[in-house]
Amino acid sequence: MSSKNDSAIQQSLPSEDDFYDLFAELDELEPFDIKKEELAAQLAALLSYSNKTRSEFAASSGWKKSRVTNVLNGRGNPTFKTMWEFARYLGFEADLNFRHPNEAPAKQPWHCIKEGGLEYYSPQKAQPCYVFDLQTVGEVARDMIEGNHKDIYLSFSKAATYIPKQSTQFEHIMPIDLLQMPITLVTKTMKGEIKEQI
Amino acid sequence: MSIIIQRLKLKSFTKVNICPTDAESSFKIYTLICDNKNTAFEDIKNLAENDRKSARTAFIKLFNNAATGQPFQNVFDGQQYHTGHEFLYHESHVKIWRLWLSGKVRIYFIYLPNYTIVVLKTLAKRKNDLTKSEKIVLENITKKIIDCYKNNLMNIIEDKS
Repeated sequence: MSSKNDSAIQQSLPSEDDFYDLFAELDELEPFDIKKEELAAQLAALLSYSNKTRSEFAASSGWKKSRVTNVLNGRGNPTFKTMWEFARYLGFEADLNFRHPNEAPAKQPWHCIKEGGLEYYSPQKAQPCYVFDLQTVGEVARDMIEGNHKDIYLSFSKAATYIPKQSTQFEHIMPIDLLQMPITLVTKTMKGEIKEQI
Repeated sequence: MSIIIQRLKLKSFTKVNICPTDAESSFKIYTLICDNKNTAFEDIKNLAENDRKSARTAFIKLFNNAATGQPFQNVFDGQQYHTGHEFLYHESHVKIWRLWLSGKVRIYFIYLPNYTIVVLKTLAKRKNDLTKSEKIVLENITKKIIDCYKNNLMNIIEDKS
């Protein structure tokens, strides 16, 4: 796709003011009406990011499905308690952050960034998040000797059926089949190696 | 023949200085320019006052949810978001999606690669089903977009200068 810089066409197109005039006869929107939609969209995004459906959320939280629908559709004026509970049921914390209007809002968990071919999540996010590379024992040993060792190693038993791709991401919520596997967490120091069973 | 699509932004729908944060994977909303006219603008202009109000709300919801980059099937329920029309073109099934977010207003759109959404029509519908002529109009617009996209004949206006 290419960009068009045809000023003649651009001149004929409606400006932001033209668009706004379309709604001039309508009731003025309160700033909170728009903020409310943004908050509702963010709650819906958190649900999606948590891989849960509305029905699953209703079942696990005990909320009525109509309440979930109302909150996610931006109806009414949900209290901070409602939003906080919503986040907590999904395993997240909800905070109240203040910022200058010209400052960018804090990153949300789903605001992923890509770097070096690996997809990971912003370090600004509150939840711990690790990106793991799948390595053989030999590769780990080589890294240790060369001083390129990672902060944390997870060793998998051979019986494990979960085969990660080249690298995989573990968040605070681990895949169920991973949790069921015998995993040993090994710290980076091989001398006086500390092993801890998860 | 080439086509032009123009980026639609929340700030066009409200003068309030609240804009959702764009993520790298945010969906970007465009509309088609036909005969030097912005089709979304023309569609909304032709709506009755009540429907225009619904259109404003619907687009505000659309922009906010698109900004999160989360799949629409996850953030909207089945009533709000589903296939509006489907047809065969160049041996592939083409899906036109329908969003019903406020009042009687339905927004019909297609997805293009790179998190691009092109709004085809904004209609106030008293009945859920599309008429035959509405389907033909949507099909023709979609075919034109697909052809131009494939042949690199699509021009994009990100911001009106």
